[in-house]
Amino acid sequence: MDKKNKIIAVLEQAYVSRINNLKLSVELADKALAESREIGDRTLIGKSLNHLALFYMIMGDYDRSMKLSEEAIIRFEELKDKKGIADAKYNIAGIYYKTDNYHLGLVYLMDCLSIYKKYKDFHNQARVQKSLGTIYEYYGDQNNAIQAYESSIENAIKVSDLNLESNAYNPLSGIYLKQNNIEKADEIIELSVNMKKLTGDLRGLAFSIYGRGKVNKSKGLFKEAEMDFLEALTIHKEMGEHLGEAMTYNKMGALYFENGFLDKAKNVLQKGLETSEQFNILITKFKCSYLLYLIYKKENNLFESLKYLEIYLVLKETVINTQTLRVIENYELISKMKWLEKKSEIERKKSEEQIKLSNERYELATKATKDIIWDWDIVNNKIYRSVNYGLIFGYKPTENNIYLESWIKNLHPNDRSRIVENLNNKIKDPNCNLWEDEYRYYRADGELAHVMDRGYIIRDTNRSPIRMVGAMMDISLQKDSEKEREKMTNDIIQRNKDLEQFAYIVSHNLRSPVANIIGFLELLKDKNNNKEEISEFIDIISDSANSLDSIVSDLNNILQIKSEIIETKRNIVFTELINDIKLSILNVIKEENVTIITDFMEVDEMLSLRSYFYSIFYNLITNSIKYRRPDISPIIIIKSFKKEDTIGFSISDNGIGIDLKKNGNDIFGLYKRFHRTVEGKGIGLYMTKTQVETLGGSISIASELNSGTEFIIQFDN
Amino acid sequence: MENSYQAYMKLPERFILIDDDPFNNKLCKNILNKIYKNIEVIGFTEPEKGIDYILNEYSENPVYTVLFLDINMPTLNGWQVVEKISHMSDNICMNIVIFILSSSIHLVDKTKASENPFISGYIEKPLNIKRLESIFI
Repeated sequence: MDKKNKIIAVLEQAYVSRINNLKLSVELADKALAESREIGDRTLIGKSLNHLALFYMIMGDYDRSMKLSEEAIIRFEELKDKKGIADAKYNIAGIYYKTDNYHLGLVYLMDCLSIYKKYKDFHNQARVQKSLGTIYEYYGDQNNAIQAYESSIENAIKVSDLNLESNAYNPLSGIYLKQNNIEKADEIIELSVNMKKLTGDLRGLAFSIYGRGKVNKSKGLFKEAEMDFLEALTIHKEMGEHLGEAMTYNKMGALYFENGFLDKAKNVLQKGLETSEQFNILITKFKCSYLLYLIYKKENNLFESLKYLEIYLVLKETVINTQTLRVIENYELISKMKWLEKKSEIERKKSEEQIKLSNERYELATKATKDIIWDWDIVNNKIYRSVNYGLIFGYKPTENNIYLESWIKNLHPNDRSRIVENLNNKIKDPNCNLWEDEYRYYRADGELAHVMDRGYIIRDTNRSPIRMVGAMMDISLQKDSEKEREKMTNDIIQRNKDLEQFAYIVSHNLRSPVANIIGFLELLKDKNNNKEEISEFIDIISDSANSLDSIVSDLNNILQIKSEIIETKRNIVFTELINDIKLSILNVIKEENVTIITDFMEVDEMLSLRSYFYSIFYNLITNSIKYRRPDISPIIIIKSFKKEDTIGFSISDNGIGIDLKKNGNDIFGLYKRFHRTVEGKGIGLYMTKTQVETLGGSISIASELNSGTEFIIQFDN
Repeated sequence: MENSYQAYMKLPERFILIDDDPFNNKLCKNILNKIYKNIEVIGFTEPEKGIDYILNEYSENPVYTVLFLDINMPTLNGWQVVEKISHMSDNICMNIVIFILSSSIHLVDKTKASENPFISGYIEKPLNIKRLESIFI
């Protein structure tokens, strides 16, 4: 794997280097090819071949490029890799085009264009269209050329490739120049030069500058044109771009000729001819020859002018006459192909339109409803779902949700077997056409939704199920509000009960001291009371008034717990909490020799209201101490535990315990007391219970007379 | 409404008070002694002890007695005390007339008392002379 990635990286480097270091590109591609052959990876061999072929093509070594491309095609055909084949064919097209076999170039280009279109490869479409434009231009088909260049630009923009985009600007500018639209030509070539500078594509830059030279030449700006051509020439030479070099010599020749510098013109045209000859570039060869013929003719050098005229004519015949005939044949063929292509395109569009129309009503209905319309092809086990499926549950259409499994997977595990079984039974029953179920369904974000689902089973003539169409309805909101309502009703009922209970207790307990006060005040009115009696009665009235006050403050405390929680939740460390409580009752602990053993191994931290927890543990601990056995020292064990989805605490002691059979129901009641021997108001456990419940937990008790008490507090995790 | 007792009953030979609140017992004793001379008043702050007393004293020598009984007490509540007495021998039951003497003004308690055949009346605390005069001749 590593090796493959390395080879791919080398090829990428080679491709990038082609812009300013073609030799390095060849070197790297060679290396990649050798290594690919070594590991016998056919895809990589093919790719390396294509890269190498491209680089040799750019260098002008067409024979070698052709051989490599042909081998690449064989490799890719073995692999049935259409894109690889297209890449190789593009190389070959380039070779044909550069060696003046325009018709063959055209055929190959059309070939790979259709493949690239199929694969939506915009980058390569841009490259091919640019080359096509060049060929159209060569044939003088300027309209097709402009169209090809513009398509190329369009595709280049799609993949935001500035280089490709600017590549097409160059020749486009040239065409406008030919059409004498100098302004537009100027505008476009400037764009191209700037883009090439931006991308650092030197080879391309040289062509752009050359193009600008042509525009300047047309504008009559001799100096500027000469400078442009010289600059282009320097870069072309540096880059080994012989076609560009020859083209520039040719245009420079024309420039000098037009401006009367005949010697300079002859000089550059000679160089152009040499380069053309050396690298077999016919087009510049005959263009240069033609210019030389004109120059010598102007100088009245008949011999030389005739010589170049002859060369020109012969070349023209080879390039144009013989080839053009064949090209025209091919051209007709291509036009015919194009026409057929267009016709089939129209047909396809027509049928698409029909399907679209027939689907329109269905789509509209789908859009109008909040339900998810689904269509399950039972035979092929594929589900189509309307857009709402994505909108409501958040599943992307690309996600793997075209099979029934995707539905089953998202069912709540507790509902799954029931639902699937029910569905299966309905499908199997030949007389059943309707299925209906309510279940919980996972949304894409993992939240649960409540769903009402109905489906109609479509059967063939044998009553076998073939298809099912239905509607899924997200009833989570209804469910939630139903639950909310239920909860609110229960809350209100509970609150009412609490209030009733509270009112009862209040009437009972508040009235007790009040009754005493009234009673003794009445007694005080009797004039026969002696002094002792009077003072005793006043003491009693005063005590009763105090106890009335303390009851009122108890009630106030309780009401505070029951009202809204203002305190913010924070992290409670239970070891610390118990230590704080121990410190606050240190005297009692020492006096009564109390041992408190804590074990917070399972849970030692919790996010909650510290003051509540403090009060809960404080009350339970002091309770345990208060109800200790007279004969042994109190031992209190506090443990935390964690079960499936609950967190809890156990507080147990070795105290006197309580007879739960007798008092079980009342243990947490307000002003309930169970021991005469111990001072108590019957408010501690009531407060504790209220606090635990306010925190959303529950408290229970296990106890046996004379063997201790255990309180269990539990919270949902 | 609250006159569920039988109007004008004979004054008993003895009053028993069962209430965990000593102040109430004191108040009752004081009033009873003040208006009914030579009548015995015995108070208990622990209902168990009151029951024991009744069992011990009344099995052999029952005395016509009125029991003023509180409802809300820690170890045994008033209803439980009534229940216990109701299971005692006829000898005892016939001789003890039970009145609930409670600080509760709640209808639930009054109704509960009126529905209990062993309870003769319901008196709201504090006990006062007027109330006593409306019950006893």
